[in-house]
Amino acid sequence: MLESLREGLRGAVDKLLGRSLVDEKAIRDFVRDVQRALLQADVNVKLVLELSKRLEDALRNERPPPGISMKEHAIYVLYNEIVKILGGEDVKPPTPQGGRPLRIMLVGLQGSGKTTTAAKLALYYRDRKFRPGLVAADTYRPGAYDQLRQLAERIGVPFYGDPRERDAIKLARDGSERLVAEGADVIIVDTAGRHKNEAELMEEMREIERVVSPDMTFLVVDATIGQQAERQARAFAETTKVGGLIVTKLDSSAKGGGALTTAAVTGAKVYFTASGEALEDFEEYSPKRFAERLLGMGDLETLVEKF
Amino acid sequence: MFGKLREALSGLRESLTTKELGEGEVSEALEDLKWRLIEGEVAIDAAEGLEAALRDALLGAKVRRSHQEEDVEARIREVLLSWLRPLEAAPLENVVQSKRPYVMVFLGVNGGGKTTTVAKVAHSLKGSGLRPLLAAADTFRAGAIEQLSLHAQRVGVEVVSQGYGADPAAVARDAVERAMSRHYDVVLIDTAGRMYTKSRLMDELRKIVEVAGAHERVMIVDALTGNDSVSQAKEFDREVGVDSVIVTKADADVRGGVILTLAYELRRPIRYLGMGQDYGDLVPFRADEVVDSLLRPA
Ligand SMILES: Nc1nc2c(ncn2[C@@H]2O[C@H](COP(=O)(O)OP(=O)(O)OP(=O)(O)O)[C@@H](O)[C@H]2O)c(=O)[nH]1
Ligand SMILES: Nc1nc2c(ncn2[C@@H]2O[C@H](COP(=O)(O)OP(=O)(O)OP(=O)(O)O)[C@@H](O)[C@H]2O)c(=O)[nH]1
Ligand SMILES: [Mg+2]
Ligand SMILES: [Mg+2]
Repeated sequence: MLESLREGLRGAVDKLLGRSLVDEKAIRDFVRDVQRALLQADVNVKLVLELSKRLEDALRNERPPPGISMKEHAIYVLYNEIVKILGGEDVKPPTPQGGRPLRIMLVGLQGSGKTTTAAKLALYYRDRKFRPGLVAADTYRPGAYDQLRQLAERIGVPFYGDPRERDAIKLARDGSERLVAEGADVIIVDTAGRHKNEAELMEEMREIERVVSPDMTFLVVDATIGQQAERQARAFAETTKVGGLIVTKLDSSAKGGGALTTAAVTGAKVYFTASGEALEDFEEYSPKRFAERLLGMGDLETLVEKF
Repeated sequence: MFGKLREALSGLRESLTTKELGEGEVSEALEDLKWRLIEGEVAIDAAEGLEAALRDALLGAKVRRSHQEEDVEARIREVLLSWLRPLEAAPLENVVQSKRPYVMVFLGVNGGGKTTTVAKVAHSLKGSGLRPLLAAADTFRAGAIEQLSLHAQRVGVEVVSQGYGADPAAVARDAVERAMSRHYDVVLIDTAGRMYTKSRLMDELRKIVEVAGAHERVMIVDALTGNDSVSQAKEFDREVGVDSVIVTKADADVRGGVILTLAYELRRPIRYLGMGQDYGDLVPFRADEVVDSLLRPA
């Protein structure tokens, strides 16, 4: 099983590389293998069909540049398609600008990793000499307040919360103001998990965004999400201004194709990835490296440099 | 003599109104179904496995000419039901009577809904007049103990806890012993979420199961999971063992494809579907309902 996951696109690519000639059949096989691998990586079905159509067109109609074989060209086209969906160029995480504090809000499905990620982000900014503060605005999940408070204590950053307050909007507003007044320059607001069918919760999220007016709303996406990624991402993007993605749980064997889908649907780029529960298991990410993970190959770089 | 004639005539009528499905029709129907299954969150191996099984069931099958689509769909439904029916579980209230206390360990990957589900199951058992005892054996994740304790308070049940950093197996044993001496009916052990890729954490889970003398190892699977559900099912089963499954977050507009994946990869009873964040949002798994949802056009 794990074996077949690892094969994935790498298999498709190797098979293509092993062919003596790229004919009609080779193209068809390659496209089919790629389709299967992308589906196994949980990339959205429609996206897979679009992508494979563009791939097929390019392979049929484009001439590879001089010095580049048909096979290399095929792989490059595929890589480019994926990078394009992920947003192309690498992105820089936001920082406070012009002396104004940076306001970040985290949203996402239940259990996707928002609260843990809030603390990871705080640690990330603290390590870069900023003064982050954490706001607990999840009044829904029992123990959410304790969870974020304990994490804040662990890394020693200011925290705002009130376990008796039932109004998440008030918490978000009061917390952001209080922490700014206390000198924090990166405000990170943690919110309750919710999904598209929970209308009241979706509305609450809109209100929280209104009072916080975040510079960046991160949608936290679990790498193990399947075909639902599209509909859920759309609902989040229609309700809030999703500006970036953070992909969690990359320590699973999932390849995170749901994140690729989410990027395509929301137009937002992946900024960070998390691959473990420890607060250190967190890093900046680039669309290029993400594409390499999806393609199951770290040696793409050398090929890509040939172009 | 008339019998023979009648037989011949009815055979004739049949050949006019019915026909056997050929390769072309079958392939077309199955290709369409496969995409529908994949869009309905069925993992690709399971979708392909099902496609093969259905091909066998459909090739050469007799369908009415006038109702070809209906008849094909009916056959497909039959096969899906034959996969899913065996996964329907006996009512938990009855099962727990077999041992006293009946010990259940809840396990699964991070954030799937273990702690919430423990509370829901406690609520349901309590409603049936049984006495559940909870064990806070997630001594690792920030806020885990407060979360379970708050749930217990609201549901009105007791929790055994030894604080953060305690050995989770010791917490589990403590709870089972308390349940024996104080005559609780069921022990529900909440464990920390873990990735199957971390062998040390899988060892820890195995120890909890052993020390507690678990009667049922309940795996929690998030209905939003894609192809990773395959690794989850196989690895937890291989490393620790899985006796039953509860699929959570089935209210999140999902088709229920993960259930078909589990039927294909794991074949263990599915106790409940989690349908929301309230204590009452726990419904027994019904095969026909899932099949309806999977076959519903997109
Ligand atoms: N293995 C792994 N676990 C993670 C990662 N990020 C978060 N988790 C775990 O996932 C679980 C859920 O994380 P939370 O931070 O509580 O998720 P959440 O989105 O805040 O959940 P709700 O507030 O209930 O919606 C916890 O057990 C975390 O420790 C990751 O990158 N890898
Ligand atoms: N909508 C919905 N949310 C659910 C359901 N079950 C659990 N949740 C939510 O999912 C999130 C995670 O649930 P938990 O019970 O904390 O999950 P867990 O598996 O114990 O998480 P860890 O212990 O961190 O691994 C919480 O926000 C729950 O309210 C469900 O059936 N439907
Ligand atoms: Mg949270
Ligand atoms: Mg838990």
